[in-house]
Amino acid sequence: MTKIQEIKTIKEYGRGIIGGLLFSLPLLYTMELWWIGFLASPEKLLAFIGVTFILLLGYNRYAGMREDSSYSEVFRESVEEIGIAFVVTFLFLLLINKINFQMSFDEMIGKVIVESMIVAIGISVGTAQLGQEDKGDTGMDKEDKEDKESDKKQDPLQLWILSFCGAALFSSSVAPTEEILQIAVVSENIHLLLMVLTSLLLSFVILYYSDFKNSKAAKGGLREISLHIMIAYSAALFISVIFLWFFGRTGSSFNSSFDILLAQVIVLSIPGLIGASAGRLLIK
Amino acid sequence: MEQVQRKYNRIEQISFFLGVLILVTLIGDLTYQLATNENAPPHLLVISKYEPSMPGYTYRVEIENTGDKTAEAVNIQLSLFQNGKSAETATLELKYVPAQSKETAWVSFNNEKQTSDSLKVTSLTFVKP
Repeated sequence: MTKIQEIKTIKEYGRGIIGGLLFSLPLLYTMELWWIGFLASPEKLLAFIGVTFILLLGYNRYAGMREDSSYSEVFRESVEEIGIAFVVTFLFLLLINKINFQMSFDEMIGKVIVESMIVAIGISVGTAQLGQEDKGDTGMDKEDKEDKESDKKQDPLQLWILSFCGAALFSSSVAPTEEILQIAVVSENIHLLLMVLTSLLLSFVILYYSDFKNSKAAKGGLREISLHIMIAYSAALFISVIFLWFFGRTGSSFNSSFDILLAQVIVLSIPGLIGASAGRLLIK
Repeated sequence: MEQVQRKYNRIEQISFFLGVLILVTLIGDLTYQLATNENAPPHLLVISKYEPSMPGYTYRVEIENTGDKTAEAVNIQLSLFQNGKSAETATLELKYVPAQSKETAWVSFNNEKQTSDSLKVTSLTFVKP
C-alpha cells in the first residue's frame, strides 16, 4: 500500500515539475531574469519569496489537488512545492550553464530564487490540473458534479487568489523584458486608453461571451460580470506594479516619472488581465 | 465532523523537510546579507596575466568586483606599453560585473612580445544600476 502511495506521489511530482517548466520555460531562457538575480537587493528577494508563498497557500487552498485539505496540509504542500521548484530551477540553470560553481554564492542563489518562484506556482498548478480525471468520475456523474459546483456561490477571496496566480503566471514571461518600457515610452495617451479598453473587452469575452471553460460569471447578471472583470483587472494591475517594482522599473535609475510608470503598468496589465481572466479559469 | 489527519509517505516527508531546509537556508542567507551588507558601491580590480598557451600575443584579464553592488556597462581600456610608450590599445566591454564576483576576458595584440612589455588600465568606467 505504501509503495503504491509513493508511486502516486512520484507521479504527482512529475506532473508538477512538467507544469512548472511549462509555465516558466520562457523565464528560464530570459537574460533579464538572470540579471535580476544579482541586481535585486536581499529585501526584494525576501519579499518575492513571501509573496510567492502567500500565492501558493491561496492556490493550494482554493484550487489544489485536494478540496478538503486542512490548513496544515496546505502549508505542507506549499513548502514541498517551493523546495521542488528550487531544486528543479537549480538543476535547469546548471544544465544551460547560467549558474556555475565559480560564481559567488549570492549570485547563484539570487538567480535561482528569482526563477524558482514562478516555477513553484507552475508546479502547484501542474500537480493540481495536469492529472487524469478520476476513472469513476465520468459521464453524467461528472456533469452533475460540475453543475453543482457552478451553482455554489464563489468565494470572492478564491476569485482574488486565482486572479493573482493567473496574472502572475501569464505576465511573468514578459514582465522582466525591456520591451515593456519601450512600448510604454512610445505610447501616446490614446494608445494607453485603447489598451485599457482592449484589455477589458478581452476579459469580457473570456468571462462572459465565449463560453470559456469553467466560466460561471455568464450565469450571473451584469453586476456579477462587472465584479469578475473588476477583480481580474485589479489583480492584473497589482501584479504588474509588484513585477515592475521587483524588476527595478519603478526606481530612479530608469528616471521613471509617474506617467511612464503608469504607462508600463497599463502595457503589462494586458497579459496580466488575460492571465487573470482566461488563466484563472484554466488553472482552477 | 472530525477531519481525518492525512498520513504522509516517505517521499512526501523527505520533500517537506527538504523544502523546509531550503526555505530556512534562503531566508537565513538573505537576512544575513541584509544585516551585513554595507551597500558599498562597485569596486573593480583588474588583474592581467600573459598567456603563453594561447595563440598570438594574448593576456588573460580578470575583473573582480569587491563591492556590494553590481557594476553595469563596464568599459575598460587597456594599453600595451613597449619601451615606455603606448604601442597598442584594447577595449573590454562587459554588460555586468555582479557584486563579489569575478569575470574573465582575453585580449590579443598584433604586436610581437618584448621583454619590457607592460599592460596598463588607462580608463575604467561603469554605472551603478
